Amino acid sequence: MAKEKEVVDFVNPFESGVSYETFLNAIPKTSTVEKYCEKNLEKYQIEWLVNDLKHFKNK
Amino acid sequence: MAVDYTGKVKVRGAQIAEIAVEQLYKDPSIEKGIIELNTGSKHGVVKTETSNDINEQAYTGQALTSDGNFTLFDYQVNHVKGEFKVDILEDTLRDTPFADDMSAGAANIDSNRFMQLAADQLGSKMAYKNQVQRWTGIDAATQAAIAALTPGAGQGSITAAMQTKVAALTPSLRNGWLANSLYNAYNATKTLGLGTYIKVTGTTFTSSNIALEYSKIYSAIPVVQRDDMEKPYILNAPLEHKALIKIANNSVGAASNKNFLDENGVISYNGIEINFVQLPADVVMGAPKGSYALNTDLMSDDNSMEVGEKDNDSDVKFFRGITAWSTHVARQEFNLIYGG
Repeated sequence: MAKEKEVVDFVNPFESGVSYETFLNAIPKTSTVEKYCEKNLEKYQIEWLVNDLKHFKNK
Repeated sequence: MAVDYTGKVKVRGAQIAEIAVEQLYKDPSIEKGIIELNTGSKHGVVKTETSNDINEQAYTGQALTSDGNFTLFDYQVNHVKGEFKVDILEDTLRDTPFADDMSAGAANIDSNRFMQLAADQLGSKMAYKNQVQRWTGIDAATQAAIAALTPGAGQGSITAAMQTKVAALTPSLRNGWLANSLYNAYNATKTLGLGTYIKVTGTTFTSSNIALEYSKIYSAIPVVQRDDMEKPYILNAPLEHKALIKIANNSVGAASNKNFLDENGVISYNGIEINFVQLPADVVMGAPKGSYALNTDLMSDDNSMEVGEKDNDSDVKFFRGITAWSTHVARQEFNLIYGG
């Protein structure tokens, strides 16, 4: 039986040392920040993150 | 150079004695000892910080391996010297109520009342500007360095929102406590970089969410520092928070709840005093009392004005005030920045 495709580790942006660049690069092109984080972060964390990333992208 | 006296009116009677002067916010931080005031600090003076650790081991009766440390590090007080200066020609006052105390003769244009008013007001404005700079001052080099930091959501990295706020600050001669908390070399290796602080992720404060957001701040305060009586923890919040807190406390409805205590004008959250200062919106800085320090040679420099004739052959007067001071952040590991 063929092995199941390995699940890629979630890159937690709230972990110390994880830059936004690293986090954004980990998100598959077909996904969004909200979708990528929905099973791993709390709703308020995702809301905060989306807002802070707006500042990052506008730099 | 001349006095800008707009809206003059034809004088038909005596002037009402009280002149409507500007209202300036007086920061109580120094008066209340929230800020450690190091007067007599000359440029170049050294200040030392210390921390230590010692661990218990099982007794063996034999020589044990040392388990602990005693760490000290110094920082040098590097004052930035600045000057405030305004030139004034009182000739503009000849057809105003201030002419009443000018001596007779075309050459006499000195109004003692105006000179006193100008010295008082310019001195007050100078002190006010120093006060604001102590919190939000940032020099151009630090502003550029903070913009170049790699942002992130986790502890140990700056938020992109804070970088936006810092970029919006008007550069000044020195760094205040916010800039010095975010970027400094107050460490054993004197390495410049992101300061050490507890980050509490922030949002826009409203009267509806202020209690919830302060609960996050309260939870982030280190447990020992939260209950320390000798150096109680203080939250330094933007001036706007006072109104939001009062509105939140007076909300109407079944779920209404007074989350903040207001005793004789001292507002606190779960026993932690809130000090209202000129910080940018949605930024709260917490630290044990005395962790933010102001180093200055002489505190009265803050609002002292020297007045005199600018030249021997003109009537222009100068008003100048000279200051030399710097800010410092101590015990960084216990300090928090909401929105940092």
